[in-house]
Amino acid sequence: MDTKEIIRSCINRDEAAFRMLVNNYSDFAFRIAFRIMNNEDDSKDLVQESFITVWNKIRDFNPEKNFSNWLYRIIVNKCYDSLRKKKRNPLVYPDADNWDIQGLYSDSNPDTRLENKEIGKMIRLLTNKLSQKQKIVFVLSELEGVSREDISEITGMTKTAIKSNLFHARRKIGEMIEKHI
Amino acid sequence: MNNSNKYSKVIKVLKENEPVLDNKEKLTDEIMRRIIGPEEKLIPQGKFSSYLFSWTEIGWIRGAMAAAAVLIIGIFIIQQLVITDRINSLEKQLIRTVHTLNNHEPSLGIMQKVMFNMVTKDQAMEDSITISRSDLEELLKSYSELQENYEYKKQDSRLESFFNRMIKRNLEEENTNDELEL
Repeated sequence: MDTKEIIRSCINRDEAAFRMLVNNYSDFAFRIAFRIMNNEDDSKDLVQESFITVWNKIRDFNPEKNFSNWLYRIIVNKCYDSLRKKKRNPLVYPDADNWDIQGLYSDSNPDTRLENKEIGKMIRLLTNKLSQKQKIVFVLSELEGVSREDISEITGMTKTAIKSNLFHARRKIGEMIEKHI
Repeated sequence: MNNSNKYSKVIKVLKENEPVLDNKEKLTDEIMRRIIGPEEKLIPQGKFSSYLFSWTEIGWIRGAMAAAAVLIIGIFIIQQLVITDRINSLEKQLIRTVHTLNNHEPSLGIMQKVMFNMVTKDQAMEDSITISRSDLEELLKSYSELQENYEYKKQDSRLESFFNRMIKRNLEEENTNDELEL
């Protein structure tokens, strides 16, 4: 059963098909959410919320369109809302300036697998100075490898805005790399 | 190693190390638990409310509504302040008028004093009450209508004889009273 067929079944409120859809896309959804939120619990909550939104709105989705982009959009919007809430009540990381990412980033052994916690720590430190938009554009473009056309479709930003946000994100991350590595 | 190389290597490390979702089954079960059941019960209500209030999810409409609410509250506060100020000024004006008239005509009632003040205009400008032209015109119109009505009624012979009788009786009563007093 391919994605289009699964989606058609979901539109007809087939719960078994929806379970299949969740199974197929939960890793993908978690990966994006985690790269933006950098926290396992928040990311899992966002994945849940996103799939519930998918179930509630799937009747409005055209199965002929790209499901990944639609899911990206839902997740990114949820992350954006969550980041906005967090901005109002920011978490305090007492050792934010002293994180040793040199230890996480190892030149000598590139095959070493990083744990979720370490990946989160590394992204959080590098993107610490980025605005929410810059962070989302950076994650989608640099880590997810999404094209600018698709980022525009997902985030609703113009290509110029994407280009500008990405430029600033790269510059700020470059500064962080220079400072910490 | 220059900065550009470092950047590329860090991005490569982050790209290659994808976050791993543990307890995938548990997460899937939780999602399924949340969509099954409540949905069956809530479909009509949920559909109706989403139909009615789905516009609230549109960011710019939400922003515009918030701005409109702030504007309306602001206008309401300004209006209240202006009204309170006008009432205070009217009260002060009334008290001043009554106070001034009390010195001259202590026997008059408040409304009479205010009317007296309006007619005589013997107060300073800041103590005067302004009547609109339309109110004044309406008052004059009512007065002339009343007078016309009276003239018309007077032409009626029965009414005329009634008025004459009334006038005569009043005069007689007055004469009697005068005689008694004498």
